[in-house]
Amino acid sequence: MTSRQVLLVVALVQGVLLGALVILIILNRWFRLRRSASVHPRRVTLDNAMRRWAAEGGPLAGVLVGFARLPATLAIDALVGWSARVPGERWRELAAVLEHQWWARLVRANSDSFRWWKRLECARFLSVAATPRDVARLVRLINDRHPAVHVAAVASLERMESAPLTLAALERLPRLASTVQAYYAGMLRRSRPVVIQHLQKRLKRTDDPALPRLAEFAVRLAEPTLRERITALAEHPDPEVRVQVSRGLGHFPHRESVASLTRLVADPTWEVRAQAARSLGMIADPTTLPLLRTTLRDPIWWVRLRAALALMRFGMAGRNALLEAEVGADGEARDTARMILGLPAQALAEFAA
Amino acid sequence: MSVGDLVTGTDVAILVYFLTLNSFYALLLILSIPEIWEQTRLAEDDDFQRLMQSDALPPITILVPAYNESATIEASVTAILTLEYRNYEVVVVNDGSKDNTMQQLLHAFDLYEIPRIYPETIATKPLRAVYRSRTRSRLLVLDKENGGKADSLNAAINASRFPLVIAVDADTLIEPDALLRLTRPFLLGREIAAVGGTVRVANNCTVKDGRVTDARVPHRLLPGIQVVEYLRAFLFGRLGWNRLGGNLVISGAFGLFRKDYVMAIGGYRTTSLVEDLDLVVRLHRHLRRQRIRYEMPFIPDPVAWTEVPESTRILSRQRERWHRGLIAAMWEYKGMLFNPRYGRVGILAMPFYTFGEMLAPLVEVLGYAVTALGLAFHMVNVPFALLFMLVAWGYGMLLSIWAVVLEEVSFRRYRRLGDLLRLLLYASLENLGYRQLTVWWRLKAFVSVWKRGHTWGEMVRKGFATTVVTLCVAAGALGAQTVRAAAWTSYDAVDQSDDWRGVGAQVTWRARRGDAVWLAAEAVSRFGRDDGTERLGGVFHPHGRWWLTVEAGTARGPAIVPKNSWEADVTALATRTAALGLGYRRQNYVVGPVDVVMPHVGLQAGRTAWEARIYVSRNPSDRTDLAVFVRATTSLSRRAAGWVGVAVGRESYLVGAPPAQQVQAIETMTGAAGVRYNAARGLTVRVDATGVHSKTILSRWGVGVGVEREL
Repeated sequence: MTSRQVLLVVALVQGVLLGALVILIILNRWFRLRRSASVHPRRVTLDNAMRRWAAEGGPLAGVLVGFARLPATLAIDALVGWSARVPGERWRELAAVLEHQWWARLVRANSDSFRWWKRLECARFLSVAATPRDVARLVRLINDRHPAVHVAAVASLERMESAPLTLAALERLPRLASTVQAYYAGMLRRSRPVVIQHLQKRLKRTDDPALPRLAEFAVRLAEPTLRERITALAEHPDPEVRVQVSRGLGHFPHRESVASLTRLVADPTWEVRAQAARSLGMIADPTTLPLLRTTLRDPIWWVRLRAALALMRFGMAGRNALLEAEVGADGEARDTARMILGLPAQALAEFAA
Repeated sequence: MSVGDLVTGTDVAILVYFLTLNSFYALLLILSIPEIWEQTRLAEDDDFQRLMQSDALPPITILVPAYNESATIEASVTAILTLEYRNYEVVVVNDGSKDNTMQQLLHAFDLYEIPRIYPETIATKPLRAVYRSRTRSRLLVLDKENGGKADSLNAAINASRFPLVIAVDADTLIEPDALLRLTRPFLLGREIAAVGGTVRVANNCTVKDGRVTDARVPHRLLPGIQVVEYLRAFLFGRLGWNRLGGNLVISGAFGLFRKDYVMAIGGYRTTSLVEDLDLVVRLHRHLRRQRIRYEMPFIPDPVAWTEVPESTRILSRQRERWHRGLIAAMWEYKGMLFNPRYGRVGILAMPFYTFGEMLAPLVEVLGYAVTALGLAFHMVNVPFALLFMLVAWGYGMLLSIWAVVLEEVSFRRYRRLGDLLRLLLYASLENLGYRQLTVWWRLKAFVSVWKRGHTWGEMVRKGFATTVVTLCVAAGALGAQTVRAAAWTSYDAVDQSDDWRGVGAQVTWRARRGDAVWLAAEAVSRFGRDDGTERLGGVFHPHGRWWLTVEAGTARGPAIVPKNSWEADVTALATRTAALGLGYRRQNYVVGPVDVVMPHVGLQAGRTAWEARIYVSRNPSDRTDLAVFVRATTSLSRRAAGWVGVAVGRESYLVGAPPAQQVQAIETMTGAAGVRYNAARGLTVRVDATGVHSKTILSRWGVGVGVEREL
């Protein structure tokens, strides 16, 4: 075959491909239009049936038929959409009935699918319509390797109280990126008793590599029963743990918290000192005012800022301390005090947050 | 070589280039299919309402640089302030506008001045004032002296409070849910360093209250073709690169970055022409060097709209600037090219952008020229040439139409049939004229770079002739008998910093009794900066038992080496096999001088020569440091000699590049070894290897290779 013939073949293939692409575009439009035309009325029918049933004026059978007539993806979308608008008891009734629907069985069966989007469908469905019999399936989905799947599955904790499910999420939590941890933490708050019991045990293991993350989560909960455990970690060798402890103790105005924070505000790690200063401000114990006044001379800008903001929470005494610093001998303390005293109340509130 | 051979050879080279590049495009095209499938699925399935109500949303700072934007600033900022996102702040930077942008902001948002409430982590032009708004608590406005877009962005980063930052042009329209969508990769738990979203063409779209309410494809050809161009660049180029793990471009008009990483690399570079490309390449380099796991994905569903040029004059300027920026970036970071240390970025992305993007216009023009030459000399078969052109253009059209297909099967922003037909039309017309125009504009970028490059080159040549004349006079005075030329190159892989590279040459004139003068020049690269040095030195024997060595050097920059240095050493034979000496060196860095006193002793024991040196140095912070170096050199054979050396102590190093550089005393432990081989005809080859463990920075290992020849 000569090079000219090769080029001719390539040109021909290109021509065919170009034609095929144009046909694909046209077919795609046509298919979408058809699908939209056939599915939209069914969705409207389902929404009407749901509305009637939610207001206790219509039969559940109509709702079930409506769901069955929609493609599974759209049925799940509708289910998720309605889940926030139907009261809990009635929703549980619907979830229980859905367990026996053929399409819901198919969706449930997808929890083991090797295609992630099928598992995601299942996770989304179970996040709003799981029953106690789905716990094992959900645990598997929470441990799924695809992030979208486990993020969807953990949302089931909003509706289900199950210790194994909560523990599965808690086990996964320290291994997640911070943003996802925050999302998990939001979900786990609803299962507070199990979570607290688990944290009481885990926070005792001081050599646990997951300790910084668990401490962060415990701090987020601001649960008084965890105060002792959190305070006990104030001497932990890992600075990240101490940062979390410093931040968390501000939520617990207790003399032990103050004692720990007094030590932490002199920590060699500046992040710990900054958080400790902030927490001392939150507690606003008058005995700690001289300490914060000293912290105002810290070599790190952020620590000085936190100390100054904390002093503002001590009322007149704190303000006087800042005014003194503003005319004092230490240049850095002077600058910090001047800056904070010059901030309007709104900005102060935002920065202190 | 005949003209025919030349034409045929060039033709074959261009064909190979064409095939390689287009195969790569085909690979991107194939990879974009599963990627858009996954992205569309995720975009459709995300339950955004639930996420918006959760605590998980990471807080974001939106950075808005503004320069002479008085006409649109109020509308732009208002639109940004009404985005659907729970936790964000907006930092607007008035970059010394000459119009009344600042007054507009003061008036529209009821601003009041506050003290600066953050440290200046990245150096910027001086701030005039910091303002907050009485009506919009999310808004912070900085008024500063003019320093360019990159400088404004750096100022905004300094002022930002949140861990994620997104730079937005004041004239860019962001879709209300775009921020939310842009955070999806963070919510999906990946190790994200930056995320890019899609930028689309806003020309001819209906805009209401700073929002695109009706997306239309422009009727005019120039902006219309740019719609296809943008679709192709974003929907299949960048999606394909997602799978290859080397997205090198995150649009400066719409990209979300982790602030700690941006700060770690010193923010945007104010000298760069395309600050977004420069930032992303530097981020890749930094993260790879630090061995931090990261991703920089592009996700197609968050959309920002921007106006594209409608006149060829403005478009040509834009494209020329982009290409100049590309050339500058590829040149600046050439060390990453084919460098396995940078993974797929070094092996795939950098070569693609260098050869497939940067050099593409040169190759294309060369192709046209050679074809024309071939046709003129009847060396090219006319039907074959036409067929080849048809295939080349057909391929370009195929790629553009593929981008339209991706748009159609995924996001379908252009719903009207007329818009779709126009897209197909523009995709077909793009290769007939428009493409050649862009090639021309990009070629102009080469010319522009070459002109500027000439200036850089002058720096190296300046003063060289004078030195050579001086040297020749000195050599003549010495009665030089032999001339030796040496050249060397070295490479050091440095932890947590740019690699060090050096290439140099030296000419030595040697007299019979051992006196000599030499001239050396070296180009060095450290901390991401390049510099050059010249050294002039000599060794003189006033007496048979002692000798004097002197050397003086200057720097071209001086960015990363002393601006000048000089050294003197006196050595005397104490016995027949032992020598004692004392040296002194002064290095005048921009940040202050370093003085080094070097007592040393040498001993010949059989076939092995020992040398011990002590370095007592005093640096600009008046700190005195001490280091000891011991070396043993032994002959391995009649022609070869080897040496090993160890050094321990504290040494003064210039750390960093201007403006943030300093001389630091660094604790080091060095191991080094080398071999020198005297080949036939006066040729000597040497290979040296060095490993330095230093606290806390600049640990490195390196190799050096040199050749020397008697002329």
